[in-house]
Amino acid sequence: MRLVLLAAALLALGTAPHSTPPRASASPSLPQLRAERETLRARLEAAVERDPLATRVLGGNTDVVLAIRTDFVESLLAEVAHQYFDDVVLDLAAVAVDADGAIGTKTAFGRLELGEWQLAASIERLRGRLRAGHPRLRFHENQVDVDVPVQVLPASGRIAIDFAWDSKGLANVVCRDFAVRQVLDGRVLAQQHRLRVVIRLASGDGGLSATPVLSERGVPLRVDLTPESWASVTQALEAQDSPGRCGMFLKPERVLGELRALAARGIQVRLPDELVRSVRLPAQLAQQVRLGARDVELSLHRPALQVDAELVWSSARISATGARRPAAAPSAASRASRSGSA
Amino acid sequence: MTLRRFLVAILTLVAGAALTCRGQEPALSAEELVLEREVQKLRAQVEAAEAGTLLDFDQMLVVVDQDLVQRLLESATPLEGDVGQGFHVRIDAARAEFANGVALVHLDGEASLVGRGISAQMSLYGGLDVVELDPASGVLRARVAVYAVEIPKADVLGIDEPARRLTQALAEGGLETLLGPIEVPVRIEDRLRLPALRTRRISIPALDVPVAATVSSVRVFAGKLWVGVRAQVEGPADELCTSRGGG
Repeated sequence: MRLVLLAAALLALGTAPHSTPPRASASPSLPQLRAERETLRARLEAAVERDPLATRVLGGNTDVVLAIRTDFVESLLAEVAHQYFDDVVLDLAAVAVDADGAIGTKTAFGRLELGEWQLAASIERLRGRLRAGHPRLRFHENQVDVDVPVQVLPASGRIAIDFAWDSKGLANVVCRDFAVRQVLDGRVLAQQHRLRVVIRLASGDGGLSATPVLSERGVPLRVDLTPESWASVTQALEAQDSPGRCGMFLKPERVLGELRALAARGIQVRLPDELVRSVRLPAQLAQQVRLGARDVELSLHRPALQVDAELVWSSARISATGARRPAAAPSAASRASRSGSA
Repeated sequence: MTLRRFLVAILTLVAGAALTCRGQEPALSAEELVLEREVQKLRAQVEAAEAGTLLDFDQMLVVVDQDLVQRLLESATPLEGDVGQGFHVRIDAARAEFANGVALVHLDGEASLVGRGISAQMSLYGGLDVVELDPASGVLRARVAVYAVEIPKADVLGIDEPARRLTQALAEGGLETLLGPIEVPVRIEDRLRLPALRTRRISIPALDVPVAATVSSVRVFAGKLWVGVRAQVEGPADELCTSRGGG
């Protein structure tokens, strides 16, 4: 029995596991490995020199390059534009429009001016709701041109109509001036516009930002009165069509026609500045990393951004400016991650 | 010769043969271990390069220079702590070399046995083998896999046998405890957000566009780490039925 134990001990000693793997008898020698590495390295270098992307990276004196395919940025910005403009509510109160004109008549002595009219429509209470379609994007230089169809949903509100008649010349002797003000039920008509936005891409503080700028700030918003409101306006103007009030000169149907034309042209709504805001793209250079138990502060130098048809290209030199131990515990390394292997 | 003597002789020969075999096939040196990995990785990259797919990335490519990783490591040194199996390690210097297919990290320092008063200089050779996006912050980070640990004067200092366990301790979580993953200063967040806006004139709901991103390829050459990232914009409806993550 003692002999068996002795044998087992000796065998165990002889075959104890090593901390590093033993050399397999067929393993290449150190010189062979070195030679093969140099051969492979030379072949790789030759192939890299033929790769335009690799040579572009290697040609820049940078620590970090972040290259994003434009088609990805395009799909991201398209979704952003689509979602962002999908449920925008604009308060149109105080938006106003006006028109004026002169009415005259032909006489044997030429044209005789009877008077001037002024028409003003202002929105007292009306909220327009916007909904976006799928935008078209076009990259050039460091910006993206976005053309997004925006649907305006119908909405109801209150619109004030002010009409004033100012008699002139001979008519002024026999006619009285008058003014009519009515606050009526109005509505925003369903309509579609194309919103043109230029998105400027920029890099600063490591982040890639997209800042939209509206190409046209004004949108002609078509509004209308309800049939009942039109009837009310008609009635008010016709009430002036009596001797001494000059309605006979005014021709209510003509004023109504002007009012309808005004509504059809639309009220020019100036889109507010707050409508467009900058967004940070989700890929960026970080200004702090954690190593061990320390947070390392970083400083970016010479950050650069280039956009071409293929890539949005961000690069920078980076220096570590200081390290400190954070108060909080480090993030759990055991959590699921989105990984790849070399 | 009695049977007893005969058996002792046989067993001694067998044990001796085993020891002799061990002596003929010594453990691979750190240089050999690193070289083997480099050759293996270079073969795959040469094949890809010659097929024109070396940098065949999906949506994003992140390129990190070895000097930056070295500076980051230097800013974190000295690093010191217990690494398991009774070892305490201090890292004083770090080097990074991304030239030969492997993102090689070379850490120099001192290892000691806790409570024994024995210590020795050590060198650790590791590689940034697994590159991933931190699920919480989106920061790109790399874990250091331990390839080899060298203690040149282990025999002289009398810690040869325990030193064999040091490699195992560092490889099995010790280095991870000490250094953690190496974070690269690139962040790919999992969504693009914009808060809601309510003013007197305008009301815009909050914007939340989910982005699913995973590391899809890793290459190492010309002094740089090249990380391909697959990213996809997910609509609000997709978010409910698409799980994030990958690898």
